[in-house]
Amino acid sequence: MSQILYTCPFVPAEWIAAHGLRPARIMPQSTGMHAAVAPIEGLCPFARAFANHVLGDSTSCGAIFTTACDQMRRVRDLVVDGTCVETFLLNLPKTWRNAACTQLYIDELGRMGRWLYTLGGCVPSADALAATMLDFDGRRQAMPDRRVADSGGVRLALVGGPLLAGESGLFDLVVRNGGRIVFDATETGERTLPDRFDPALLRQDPVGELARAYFDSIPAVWKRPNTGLFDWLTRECTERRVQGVICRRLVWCDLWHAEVHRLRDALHVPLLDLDVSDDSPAAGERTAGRVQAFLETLQ
Amino acid sequence: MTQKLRQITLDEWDGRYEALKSAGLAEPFYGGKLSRHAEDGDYRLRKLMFDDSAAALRLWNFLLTEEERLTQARSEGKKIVGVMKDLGTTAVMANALDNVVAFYPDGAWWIPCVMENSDRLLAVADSLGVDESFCPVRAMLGAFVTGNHFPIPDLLTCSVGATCDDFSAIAQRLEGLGHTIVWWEIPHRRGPEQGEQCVTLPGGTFVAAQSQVDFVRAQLVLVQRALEEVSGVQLDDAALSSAIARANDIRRLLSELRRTVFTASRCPMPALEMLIAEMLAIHYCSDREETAAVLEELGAEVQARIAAGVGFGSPDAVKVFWVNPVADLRVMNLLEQYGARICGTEYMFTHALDLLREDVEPLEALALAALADPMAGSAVDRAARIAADARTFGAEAVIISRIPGASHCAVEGRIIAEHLRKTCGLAVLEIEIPPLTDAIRPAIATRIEALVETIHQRRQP
Ligand code: SF4
Ligand code: SF4
Repeated sequence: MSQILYTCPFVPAEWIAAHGLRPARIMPQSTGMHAAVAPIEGLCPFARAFANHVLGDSTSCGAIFTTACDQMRRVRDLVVDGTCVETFLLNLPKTWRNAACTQLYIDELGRMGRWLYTLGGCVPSADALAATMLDFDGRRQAMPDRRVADSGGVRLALVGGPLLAGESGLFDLVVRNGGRIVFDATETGERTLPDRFDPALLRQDPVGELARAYFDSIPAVWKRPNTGLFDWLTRECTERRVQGVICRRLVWCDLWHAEVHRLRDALHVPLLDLDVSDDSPAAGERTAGRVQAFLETLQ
Repeated sequence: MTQKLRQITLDEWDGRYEALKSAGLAEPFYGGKLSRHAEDGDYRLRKLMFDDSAAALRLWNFLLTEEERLTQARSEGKKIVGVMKDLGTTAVMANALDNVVAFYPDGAWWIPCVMENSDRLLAVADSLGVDESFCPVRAMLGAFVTGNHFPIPDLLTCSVGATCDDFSAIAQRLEGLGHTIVWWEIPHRRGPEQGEQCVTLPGGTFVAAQSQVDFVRAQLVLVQRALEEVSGVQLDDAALSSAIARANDIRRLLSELRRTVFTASRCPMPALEMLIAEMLAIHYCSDREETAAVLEELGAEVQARIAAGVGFGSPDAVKVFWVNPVADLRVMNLLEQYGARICGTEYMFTHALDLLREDVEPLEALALAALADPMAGSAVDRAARIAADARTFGAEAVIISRIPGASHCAVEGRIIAEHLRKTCGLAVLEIEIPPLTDAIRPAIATRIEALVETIHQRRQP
């Protein structure tokens, strides 16, 4: 089955699947100096890594970029001419408290659906879409819960932008230093899971329900205002008795960088501002030292 | 042979001012010696070279007294509206109301340069965690915190969507500090799908799907309501149409000034004064009538110089199209000192210079203009507009000034440069310009010099 690459959590995988194509959410590996898109001062390493992933892929039939941030919106400009993979830019409204923006998201899903069709996808019936959505919902519920049993260690929240592939060791690193991540609120973590689908709404209007579960429900740093993110983090930190927060952000990501101070004020627990330039061993060593020092102060 | 005009220093302006006064110069209410602004903290003026005309004096005095006008407007009971980011659209709406004065807090972008960091706005931003990885607009955050550069607005609006992360993130911080913002959305501009209705936007280069125009138009209704609420006055179509017509009067004046200056055989008005003149179109520096008068006087000066056959620099100065505003105004002087002149600009607000449509409903016209923002589309789109304008003005080279920290500058310079080289064969130079370039001035000069030499070589048969 033809594969569609994406990385933004606001791209509904079930929408792609319902069109008969295989959604492949990418957690890219950061790429070295000689990649097609070389490191450029000011360029977010994650946006760059995703661009290089798409440029290096010759088997997928399409790649979806979104306007969640300016960097992602613009790296697509770098990719379009250099790849045989078709690209699509999904317009994500930044404002969210008015129906017009939810409708724009729905319209954009429609546009994406027509693009998927041009890549060999099918047009799903409402019933087929609803069935796919229920299937994905079920699979998400069956995913292992990171809310591990109270096994001791300093209870930390991991907050911030998306993790690069080489950063998955961060969780173990925290454990080795006497801590434990009780929830992953990064872009690649549980914060960005869609809300559960409402079966009744699903039957009436599956696309509308998709928009509600994704666009209306996922808290994001780029939404304006981003009160939803702060409400969600405050609630989760309290409920999960978080003792410290690691705000892991990528260099040149203005959206997370600008929020570090507010997070410190809002969450009322010690916060480590962990800036990361890539997932190389050298960057990993620096991260290890900083995480270790942070946990020492909390024990 | 034509006579060469000479730019003068701030010190020289004092003597020139006395001479103009003795000759009977009549000044508007904000007139006076330019040096007083430097004494008040605008230290960068001491390092700039100025045009020596009465028209330029008026232009500078007008620009540098905006804070006084805003303060005065507040004392008269007018509402102050800070319209953020869209550069030129919502200001037109706000100016449709007699009891409202609109300005762009974004203008704080230039304060670190103009005051040579003496006001420590960047340090204030630093202390809030908004460091030099953000573009100079972070000075706006400092300006809100210190309250020293403009009255805190009664209403703040901000366009988001297809905007830079820098501004969006900083505006969100402002809201976090307690400044309520009416957010409105301009989506990333896209062309129509097959069968979808398509519109050509003001400026003639960009197109958008009609559905996007409809969406932005509905967003502008949110701004309209907010303006009505803060002013207590209904903002109807008649008032908006009249505001659009008045905005077009300004845009026509500026368009004529740009065309005349950029196409003159010898440069009749320096790059620095032209940059300031262009900025007036965004929100009229808080006084529309005066903006018109300032531009008219500049236009008359330019015409008189052309008629007299006088100009700046040499007649064979290299014609440069400039992309992006310079964080340090002094670089505009530098360009001319090394044998080039400006023939065309794209300071990221061409949509504030293009005429607004008067044959459609006013909110539709404004939506069309908002979507024509060169930053709202792809870099290739932007490059196409630059290419078209560069051809119109006969530019021989393009300089793209990179803005330190700006989220769009990481990749778009490369795309724009490639497009221009490929489609127009233009020589392109990309240089980073921080708010104060003194330490790297020789390096910038060398690069400009090399570009100038390249063009001279290309000219040889
Ligand atoms: S980390 Fe930040 S800048 Fe990078 S892609 Fe994500 S939101 Fe955009
Ligand atoms: S200079 Fe660029 S990054 Fe800075 S506010 Fe303007 S558009 Fe945004």
